[in-house]
Amino acid sequence: MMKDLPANLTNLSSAIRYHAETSPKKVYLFYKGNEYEYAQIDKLINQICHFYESLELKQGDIISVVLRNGIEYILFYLASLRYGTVFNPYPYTLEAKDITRYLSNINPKLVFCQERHYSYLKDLVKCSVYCVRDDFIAGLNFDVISWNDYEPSENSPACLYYSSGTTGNPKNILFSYKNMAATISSVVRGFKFNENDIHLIVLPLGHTASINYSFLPSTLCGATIVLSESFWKIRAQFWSLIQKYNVTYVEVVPSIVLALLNTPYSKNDYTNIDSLQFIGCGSSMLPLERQIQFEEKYGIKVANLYGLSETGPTHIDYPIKEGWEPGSIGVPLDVNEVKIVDDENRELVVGETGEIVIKGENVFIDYYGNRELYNQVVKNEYFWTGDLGYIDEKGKHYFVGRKKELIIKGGINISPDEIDEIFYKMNEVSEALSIGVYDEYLGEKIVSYVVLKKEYKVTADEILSHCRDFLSRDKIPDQIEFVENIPKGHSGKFLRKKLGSN
Amino acid sequence: MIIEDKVKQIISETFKVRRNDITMEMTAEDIELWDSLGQLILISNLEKEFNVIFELEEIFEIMSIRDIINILERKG
Repeated sequence: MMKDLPANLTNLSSAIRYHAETSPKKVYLFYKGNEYEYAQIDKLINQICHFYESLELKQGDIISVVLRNGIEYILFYLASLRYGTVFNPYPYTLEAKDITRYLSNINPKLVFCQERHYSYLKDLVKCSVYCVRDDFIAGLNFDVISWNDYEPSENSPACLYYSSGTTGNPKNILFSYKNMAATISSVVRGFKFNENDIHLIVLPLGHTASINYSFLPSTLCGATIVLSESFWKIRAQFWSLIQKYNVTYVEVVPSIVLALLNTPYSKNDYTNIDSLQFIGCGSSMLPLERQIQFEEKYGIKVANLYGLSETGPTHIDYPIKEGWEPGSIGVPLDVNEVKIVDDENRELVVGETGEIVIKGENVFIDYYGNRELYNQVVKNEYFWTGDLGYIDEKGKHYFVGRKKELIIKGGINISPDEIDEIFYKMNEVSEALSIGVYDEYLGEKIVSYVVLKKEYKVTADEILSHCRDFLSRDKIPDQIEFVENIPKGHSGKFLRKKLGSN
Repeated sequence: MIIEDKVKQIISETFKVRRNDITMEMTAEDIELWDSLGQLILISNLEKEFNVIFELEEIFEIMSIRDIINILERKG
């Protein structure tokens, strides 16, 4: 049962303050062998608010943040909520050259980063760049240690989440305080999280998945977080961490499920993992076979997580419920209504496949600087997801596939247009089209088809070298295929699906 | 020793670490760029250099640099 929190909580930063007052000694965060109690974290958040003030940040200013998983990320995020700035996070694995393209559309007031990105970003971006060094937390020493929580209005933006897209058509998702409060409280209710939960975070906090399923829900209900830098760094000790901290929940992506199935752990490693209720797997669909294999091997059920950056989690697939079966994405969370419709917006009957559309307080408030795109996807209060699904006779929802053209590699959404845009910077390239092709481990890998201009010769390695000048590692094509032409429809538009089926 | 030298060279180039800093006991925890994607890039570079194919199980068997040597020796 979740502790009673103040009613109508509009700023999640208030939850930390509440837990700091009612359970000051309770551990909020385990990180690198250190423990951080709620009261301690609350004071550190106040310190960072004073730090923000010293940098002359104002409420509503966008602060772009590229930090690795660590206490600094947690504090900067929560301080931004308390202060009233707009938090614009990027995955730590994104490279500086990639980040600068996104920042050119956002024009933040300030960028916070660490050593890895600092030397590049400080020369590439227009605004100030602050390097958060390893001794930053220890160096905080403001005398005054209180700060009042920012009181947001109806549509005050809390976060600006980046999404893969082209320079000309960016998708920067504006999420309000109201969106956040509605989404996170619904996740807590749906997943039955409470103050006794202990979440192990292995996914990057720069993506919305771990923010919306673990970081913020744990914060809201007074639970505990065990924070790792990444799954790959703790892969060998994964099960011993579960045992050591009595972890109750972990969120993963399909490539991590595959890694857990194939890493040669000894049986002793996972004999005592009863604390783990279930794991949640999202970002892309986990094959049913793997869901079943995982439960057979480890005795732990895997819930399918469905949601989007524009809405946060939208469904709950709760495997502890009696009669649960794997394969579906469950039922809608109580924060939203979900319909399956055809292209004319007619609601479809049970069993029929159509587009998933979503209405609720969790639907984002804008694409920053791209209202035109927002109006194309949010119509009459419903967000058209570009995903296909159906509902069965028991009311369970199923994800079928994507209508929109997106590559999901290792759980990361990549717009193929963003890659193709880079090809067109080369004089040698006449046409280019990237698609996602099935990969057993990554889910999808990137294959790019290139048509060269007649007078030019260029190798695949030269093309990849060009891509590395502009794109982060995970967006570099895995394969380049030279072709004579790329299939087009009557209007001249490239037929990505036809290329994929060929 | 030759395999070891070549593997160290590949590790150095793939993960941008100094060759002299590399030890056989190093794991992903010790090298910043050695994440899940880094492992795949490493595998791809090892396959090109040694003209081998790593099976899925072998990819996940690799926890340390020593594991890479052991697998390559097993493959002959």
